[in-house]
Amino acid sequence: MLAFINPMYLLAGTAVLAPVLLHLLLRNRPQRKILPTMRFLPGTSQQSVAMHRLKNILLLILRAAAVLLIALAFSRPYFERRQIVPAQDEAGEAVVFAIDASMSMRANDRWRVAVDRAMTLNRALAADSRRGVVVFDRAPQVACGDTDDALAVETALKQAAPGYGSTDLAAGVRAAADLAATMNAKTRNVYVISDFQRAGFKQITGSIDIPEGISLTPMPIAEEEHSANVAIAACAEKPESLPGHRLVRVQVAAFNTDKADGTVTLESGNKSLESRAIHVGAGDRVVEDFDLPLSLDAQCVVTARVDIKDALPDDNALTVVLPARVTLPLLVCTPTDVVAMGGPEASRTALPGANPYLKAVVAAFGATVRPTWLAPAQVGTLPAREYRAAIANAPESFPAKAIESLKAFVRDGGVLVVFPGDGDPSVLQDLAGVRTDGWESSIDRDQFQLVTYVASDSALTSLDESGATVLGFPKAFRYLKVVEQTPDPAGSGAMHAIARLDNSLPFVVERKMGQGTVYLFTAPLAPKDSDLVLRAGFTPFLYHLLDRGVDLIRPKTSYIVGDTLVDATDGAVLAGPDGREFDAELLRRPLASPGAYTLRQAANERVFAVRTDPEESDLTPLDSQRIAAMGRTASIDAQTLVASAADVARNDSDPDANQQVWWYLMAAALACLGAETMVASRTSR
Amino acid sequence: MPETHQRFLQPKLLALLGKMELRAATVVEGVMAGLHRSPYRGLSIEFAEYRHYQPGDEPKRIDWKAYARSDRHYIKEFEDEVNLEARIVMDASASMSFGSNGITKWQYTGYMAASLAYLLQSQRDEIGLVVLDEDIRVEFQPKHLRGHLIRLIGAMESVTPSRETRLASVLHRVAAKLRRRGMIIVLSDLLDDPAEVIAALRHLQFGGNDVVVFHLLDPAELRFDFSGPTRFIDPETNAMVPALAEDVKGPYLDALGAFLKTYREELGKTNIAYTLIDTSEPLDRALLAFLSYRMKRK
Repeated sequence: MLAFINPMYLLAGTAVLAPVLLHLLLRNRPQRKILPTMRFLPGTSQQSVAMHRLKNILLLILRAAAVLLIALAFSRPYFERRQIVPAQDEAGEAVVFAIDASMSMRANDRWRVAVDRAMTLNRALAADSRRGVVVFDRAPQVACGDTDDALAVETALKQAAPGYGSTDLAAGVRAAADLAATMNAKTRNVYVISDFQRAGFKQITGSIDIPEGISLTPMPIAEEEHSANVAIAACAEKPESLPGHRLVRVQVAAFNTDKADGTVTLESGNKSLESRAIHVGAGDRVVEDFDLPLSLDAQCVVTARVDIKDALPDDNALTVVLPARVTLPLLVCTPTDVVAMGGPEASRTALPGANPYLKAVVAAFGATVRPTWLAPAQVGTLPAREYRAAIANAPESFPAKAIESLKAFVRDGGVLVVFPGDGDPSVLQDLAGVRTDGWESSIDRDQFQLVTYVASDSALTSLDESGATVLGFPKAFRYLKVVEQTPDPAGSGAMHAIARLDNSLPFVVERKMGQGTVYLFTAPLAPKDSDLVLRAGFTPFLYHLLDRGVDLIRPKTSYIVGDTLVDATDGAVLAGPDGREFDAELLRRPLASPGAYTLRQAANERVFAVRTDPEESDLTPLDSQRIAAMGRTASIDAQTLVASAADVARNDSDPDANQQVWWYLMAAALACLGAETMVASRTSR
Repeated sequence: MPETHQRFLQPKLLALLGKMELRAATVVEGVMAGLHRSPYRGLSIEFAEYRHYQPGDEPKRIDWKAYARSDRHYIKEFEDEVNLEARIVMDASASMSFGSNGITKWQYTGYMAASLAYLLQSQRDEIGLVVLDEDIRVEFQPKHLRGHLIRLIGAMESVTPSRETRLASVLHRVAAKLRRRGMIIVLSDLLDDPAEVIAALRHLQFGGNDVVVFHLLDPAELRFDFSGPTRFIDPETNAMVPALAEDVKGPYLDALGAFLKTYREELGKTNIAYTLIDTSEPLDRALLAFLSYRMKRK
């Protein structure tokens, strides 16, 4: 059956009246002319008139056909796979509609198209068919269980609505397949109706395993043209904030958006703090830094808003909570001859023999940290539980007991930053779970390696998504060659390189150990080995690493839609962004809407922000091959499934397939126009 | 002079013609003195030329005064100036009512005929008129009387072209009525069978008449400047032929060219003066072109 992506363009088909009217109004009516010398006219003149009339009719047909074909092409027709709909006489079919209800489905009229398509399929099913509906975003939900009541399915479809959640396509498909597996029928089909945006596939590395005997039919409903979209991708406080000057960085991302102008506004408490004009282009990420006159010691709720009209306006505002400053208790362990121990006052005294660059960096932290300097032999004498972050400089020279203490510190949840010294690198493997392959050095300083970027898969990117600018491109002259294939030690997470040299060797690696994290720099903390310490970005970068320890003692202030509150106690009251209060039961449910929430429990009240998944803002659909490959290894029906999915992808909503139909129609229209030109030129002659 | 006569005579044209002399190519008999050369050379009163005496010449024709001056025998020749009897034959068939540029062929014919008549009368020639279509509708014998020209012009105006052409047969009847030699000026579109028309014109010429044919055609007939689908109607028969003008233009012009070529070549062989007149051309230009041609023949 023929369907249209842009049916409104069919109205342009009425333009076919234009050539018809022009033909009727401007046609050459035969003139009556007296001609005494008529006897000299050839006998074939009447034939020429008949031929001329035929040519005129042919011209009219060609012009009308060209107009109709162009209108049809712009309406983007495609052939719906009627064959995937069971015939009326095929009883015993079970069908589950898995409908994507993530935020991206709010774009344009995707949701309406999805529901319409599901309803069309539902009505075409045989009366005894079993049916069900699963609505999914990040978490699937059965909207209508096993039933043969088509009306119940329609009701469920009408009641469903897209939310603000992110997409977990695999979870939705599995839930639908599980529901289909419970249905008593000869054949079981799951129709996945989704925009199939790329973000929904990120968690799918291979195939989606579904029970045997269930065929999977992807039904993409995204527009052929990628919808233009602008979103507030990030809004975070910069570490350089000073009292009375909170520096906030806002990032505006543009997806498939042509050049557009707009305004970014920062608001707090329904009051506009600052507005700034921006200009975005396709694929741009516009970064704007705001210096807000807000107290560093008080928590602030800030909303960043962009006013560019787009397909998905729900992500054009982002609310974040800027937490009050928390002084970070920091352990600094470094080899030294004279060590002053004790509290903050003692730690700020001179430490002869300690690494002067480390001293300078720690001093640059200022009031944001409360450092405690320890000699290696004394590590462990202080209760590590009181500290959440530590720096170990040259731990190769540390006694084994100190190493064990630091390992215990990390396992208990501490954040440890390690700078190598000149000793045995095997200590680093023990401490950070990182194996090294000796030193790589360059005597000639012109042969340095440049630290080129911060790995995008690092958790640090969420702190500053501008990426490579974090470290300011320092140079490394002597560094440890890290073997990335190091087996992950027991009780540890995978190793990530969060910064690399331009020869692709890791410069900063991250390893989860127990509940804590170890960050290992591969270059010693000295200018002769790298100019890291001379870089202005080094101090904030190091603080970013240590600040993760602060997060451990600071209540969580940021959630993503779909997250569940973990620290809500019985009797707590949660007020949503619109002021509505949730009861105790709803407190256990996923957070459904973006905005600022207030949680009141006991005598405490805290504010946190819920934001939409930034991945959802990118409406770009997956390529058709990946859609078709969704269930390639899914059970015994894989062969049918792949073919079916490929057909659907090709015929139903695959942009390429649609493009082909479009092109065929345009080519036909051009052919008509070409033929019209030829016939018209012959006629005029 | 009445307004209609002024319209026919066109003062600008007459002013031009007043500087020209119309001389018949053929010597005709006449009873009135005029500018035309007499066939009876030597017996008239107007000196023509000297020539050397030839054996056989009558001695009384020798100019003795010239002999006394030159000591040579010359014969003095004279020529008599006699009046020309001219008939203007006008085709008044329905096809002559056609005109595409603001003037019909019949109007153009009237202008030409009036101009010629006026000129001939100013030379004291006798003028006659025959208006014909499928029959002779008007006929005036040649006369040189005051007021005759006005009657002729009035007769021209009284005729409206409306009937079919039978040019050849009517011309034969006109030829049969001729009693004296003279000039016959035929003004027609000659839309009849060329062979029959040429035969009729030769019949006119038979008695020693000087026949002059003005073949008048409208520019639309000559150039066929039509476009698009057109229904062509014959004004004489009311027959209708639909045609796409662009498609039939080439064959039409070929057939017309062959028609004109037949007249031009066949009449040229018989010493009948033939001139094709495009009615879009100025009347004086067409008339003067003919007069120049006649003077060359002299």
